[in-house]
Amino acid sequence: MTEQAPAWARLLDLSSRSLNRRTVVRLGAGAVGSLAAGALLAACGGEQETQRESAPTATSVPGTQVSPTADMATTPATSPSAGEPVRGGELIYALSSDPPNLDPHISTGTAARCVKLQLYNGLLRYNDEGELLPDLAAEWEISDDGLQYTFILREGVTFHDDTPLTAEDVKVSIERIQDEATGATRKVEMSGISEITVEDEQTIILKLEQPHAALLEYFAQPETAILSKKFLESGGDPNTTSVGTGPFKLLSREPGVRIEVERNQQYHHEGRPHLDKIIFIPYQDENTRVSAVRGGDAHMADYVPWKDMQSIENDPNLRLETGQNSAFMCIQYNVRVKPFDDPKVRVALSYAYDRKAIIDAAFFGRAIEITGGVIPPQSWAYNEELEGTYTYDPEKAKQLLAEAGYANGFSVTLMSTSQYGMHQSTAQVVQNNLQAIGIDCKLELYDWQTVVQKHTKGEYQFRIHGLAPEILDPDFLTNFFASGSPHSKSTGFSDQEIDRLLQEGRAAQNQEQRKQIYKRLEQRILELAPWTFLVYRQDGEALRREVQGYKHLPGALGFFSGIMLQETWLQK
Amino acid sequence: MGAYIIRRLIQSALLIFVIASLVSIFIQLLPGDPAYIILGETNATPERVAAVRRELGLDRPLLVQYADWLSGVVRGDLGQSLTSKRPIGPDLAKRLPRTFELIVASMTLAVLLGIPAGILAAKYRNRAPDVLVSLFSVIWISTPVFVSGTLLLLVFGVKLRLLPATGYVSFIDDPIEHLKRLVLPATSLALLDMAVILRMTRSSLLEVLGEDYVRTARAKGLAESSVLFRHALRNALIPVVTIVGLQAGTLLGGTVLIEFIFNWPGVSSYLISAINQRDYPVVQAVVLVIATIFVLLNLITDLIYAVIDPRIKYA
Amino acid sequence: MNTAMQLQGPSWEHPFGTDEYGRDLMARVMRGSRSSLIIALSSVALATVVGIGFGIIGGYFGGFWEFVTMRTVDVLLTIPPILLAIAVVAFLGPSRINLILVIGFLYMTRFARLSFASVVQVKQREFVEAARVIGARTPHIIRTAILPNILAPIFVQISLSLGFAILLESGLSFLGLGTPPPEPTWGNMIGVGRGFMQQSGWYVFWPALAISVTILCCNMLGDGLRDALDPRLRE
Repeated sequence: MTEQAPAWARLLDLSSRSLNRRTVVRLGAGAVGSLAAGALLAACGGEQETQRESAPTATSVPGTQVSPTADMATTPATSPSAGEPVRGGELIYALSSDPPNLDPHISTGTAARCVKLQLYNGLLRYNDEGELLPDLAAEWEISDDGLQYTFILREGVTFHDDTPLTAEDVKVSIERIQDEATGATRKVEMSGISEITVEDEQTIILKLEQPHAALLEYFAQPETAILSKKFLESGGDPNTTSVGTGPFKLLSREPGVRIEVERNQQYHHEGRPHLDKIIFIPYQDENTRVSAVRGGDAHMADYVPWKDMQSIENDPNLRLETGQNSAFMCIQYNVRVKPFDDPKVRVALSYAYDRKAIIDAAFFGRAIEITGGVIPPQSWAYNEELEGTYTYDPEKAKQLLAEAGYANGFSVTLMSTSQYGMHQSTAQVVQNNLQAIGIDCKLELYDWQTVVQKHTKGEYQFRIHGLAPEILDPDFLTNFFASGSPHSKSTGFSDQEIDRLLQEGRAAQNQEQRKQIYKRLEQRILELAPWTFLVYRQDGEALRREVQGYKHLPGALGFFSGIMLQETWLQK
Repeated sequence: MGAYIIRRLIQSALLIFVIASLVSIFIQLLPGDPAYIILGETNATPERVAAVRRELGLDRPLLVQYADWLSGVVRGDLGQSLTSKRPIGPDLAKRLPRTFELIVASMTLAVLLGIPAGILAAKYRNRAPDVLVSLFSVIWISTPVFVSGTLLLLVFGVKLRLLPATGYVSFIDDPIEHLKRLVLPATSLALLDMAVILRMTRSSLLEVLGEDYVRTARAKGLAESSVLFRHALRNALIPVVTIVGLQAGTLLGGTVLIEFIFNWPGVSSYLISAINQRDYPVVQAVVLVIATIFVLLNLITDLIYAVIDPRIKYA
Repeated sequence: MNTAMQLQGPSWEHPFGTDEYGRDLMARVMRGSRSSLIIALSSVALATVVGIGFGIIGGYFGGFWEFVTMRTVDVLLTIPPILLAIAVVAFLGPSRINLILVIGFLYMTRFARLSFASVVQVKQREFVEAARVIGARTPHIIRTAILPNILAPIFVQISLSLGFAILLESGLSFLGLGTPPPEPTWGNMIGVGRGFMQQSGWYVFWPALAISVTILCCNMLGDGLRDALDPRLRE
């Protein structure tokens, strides 16, 4: 890597090893989808996209020659900012919740993930267009049958305690995730790996029993971060302390009060991070969190309440970083209880909800309706033809209800939480809508913990939920709709046809083929309507003007925006 | 006097023990399972829940859990947080002084402003200063602390940006910044008590001013200021001291809302987040500590009362 | 519900303005008064009955009963009401009935102490002694001799407690632990409205005004009652 290398190449920081042809081919196939998504975003004309200068061509980057958007993708995000990044400075980040633990393998929400993204790296990483890039793995190869993954690690990476990264660390980390006792979030996905072989210091081979088209993506998430073998074996507890490879090192932590991280001088992405220090301060109250940024007590705040987005955009001292998220609000029916055991009722109700009112009341206009399937528009598997399946049509809902034998309505109880405004507001609109078509709908609002408990035990009739695809690949539907998935256990829903299609979609290697499978799958889901999808919301961070280089990542990547903190700098 | 103190001490200790036991038992009896919080929505399968319960010792009989906890408390070990897995004692020890500081600052403010204002009102009874001061006190007494807190935060912290709106900086890191951040929460908290103290001072002083010995002092031809400050005030302040002591409890309650609004990392916000996370050991520990402080405050008030009121004799 | 009309300022159509769902704030504040007052009145009623019961049992029978009742009160008094209320409501779940129970139980202590002190005094008076001597049964004595003579300070306490109950309910609702929406109460309106201060200050102003005025009235009523009932001031 030469000094003259352009910024985009420095960000990628490819090692001198050249990738073999097969890797390039496999990567090309895998990346098409996300690139298409990138192109689509660019076409939609997000402000950031149009403001980017054209960057050097990217022919040397594997898999990226397919699309001209790729070079934009690798340019460090330079939102409406000007000038060269300045090194140094302390950033105060007002977080929406206190990370209950620091263990990267156990997911505890977006705010916690934001902190963990500073401390750890995975084998791969996403760039800001959802492309998979090398991180701790410099290159990788997938066998043609999709059953063997070979990762070659980046050279010269050291942990925060100065021990070098080796294949052994990767092995220990994956085994830790697989271990029942860890309680890791990605246990199910990692359990598909039947054999882990350390080939040499820098090479590790993973063998699978069944092909899994989306597996690679999981290696880009902090929930599969690589921990230090030495640290774990010497009894280190990643819950309270941290030895990672990330751009920042843990400096101090007082639960509920603050977490401080400082620059990792040996970070393997040259020139990053720009900041000396980040201080994360959790704010229990969203209004106080916003006031903190407004008043200048913090440089940025996550999860800006939707009601405040407009006024933050209007404030000359502030900037709102937002993007169309693929997180969505939906209604889940417990299909064990009458009348929700009848698909006709679920279909009928799907016409009863005024999605526009939800967008106004819960999201103050910062959301878009879902009238079709839930695979988001940013995805290559998006099914445009399904748009308009369920629109707001109370008359039709009434008529369908009558056909299902409920001309006089029925009495039901809707479960939601008082703890999150968006859940509560959505629930209030839904209750209102159902009452309008003659259904006696009671509202039960619990605190979030109780909701979780009742959800797990299936003790509700129907509920409001806010969920998000965990990966960009449409395989995310497995965790929602496969028999035996936590959600299906909760709702009691299962369908053999859906299970079969999910299996097929995961095993198929060809993207066009997969697209067809997921289309059929989504049609089936809409026909049976085990859930009703309502709206996609926009999430956003509030930034003071001096904060530069940060960007809210689009789509499902929104939850990974914390990765941009290593690109962030403070204007003097 | 000595015997009285000892008796009150023993009483207080017993009271604390009873509270500790009640809280512990009460919490165990309530519904809601921390295992679900630890595992989160997607991980909470029945088997995993059982495993976590076992790991935390929640599957043991209640009495065993209680005995275990109590023996820990006696040894000064308040237990471990379920969510952060850290010992509670040190975290609580860090937060306690912050809440205490907030209370002391507000109380000082309330006394420093409330008593003079009360004297002023009493001196100019039914005239302009009295009406003004009384009006002020009536308004603040009937304004909830979360309304006044929010108002101060928005006006001084966000709109005018005269003071930092939120947050906490430790005194050691930056004393000036620390004090600046104390102003708004302490003032919000002090307003109500200031109003109460003001009213108490006024009415108590008026009552005393009508007493015979004051009339005698006046008849002797003493200067009005001498009558007011040397004779009347000392006696008038006795009930005020009681009120200040009692208000300490109200202040402690008020910190719940104030710490929430200003993100002040004290004991009350610790309790609220622990409750939200069903972190039983933390709830237990915090309630115990707060009750202890409360009992001690009552004790101190009683003792001060005994010292300043010459009419009271304790055997 | 008309979301197109959200967060409007006062107008002829909506004298107080509208909330985030486009609902009329005046209607919400008035509706909220119902909830706030029901909770305040019921909890204070509960507190009065239970408190007087505790006071009479402890004061009249003394000994063991005094220990049980008055030490219970002592224990309840050691924790600031709002903390205890938060803990209990958070665990039992917010609902109107839970709020009434919690607030009622917490404020019972005031009535218990007050009536205990009065009962101990009244018990020694001649007419109680006389009733006992002529063989009246205990319930009869309590009903005819004790109760009427301890009520004056109780009335004062009731009016003051109403103010405190409203304050406590609104504080809990503010934290999201009070009456759950969509039922409006002044407290949860302030809690939600606080977030809209940037857009519309009216949202929080009206319920805050309602609370302040109500508490003011309760306090004035209490002061008035005290003046009227206190024999020392009656001249």
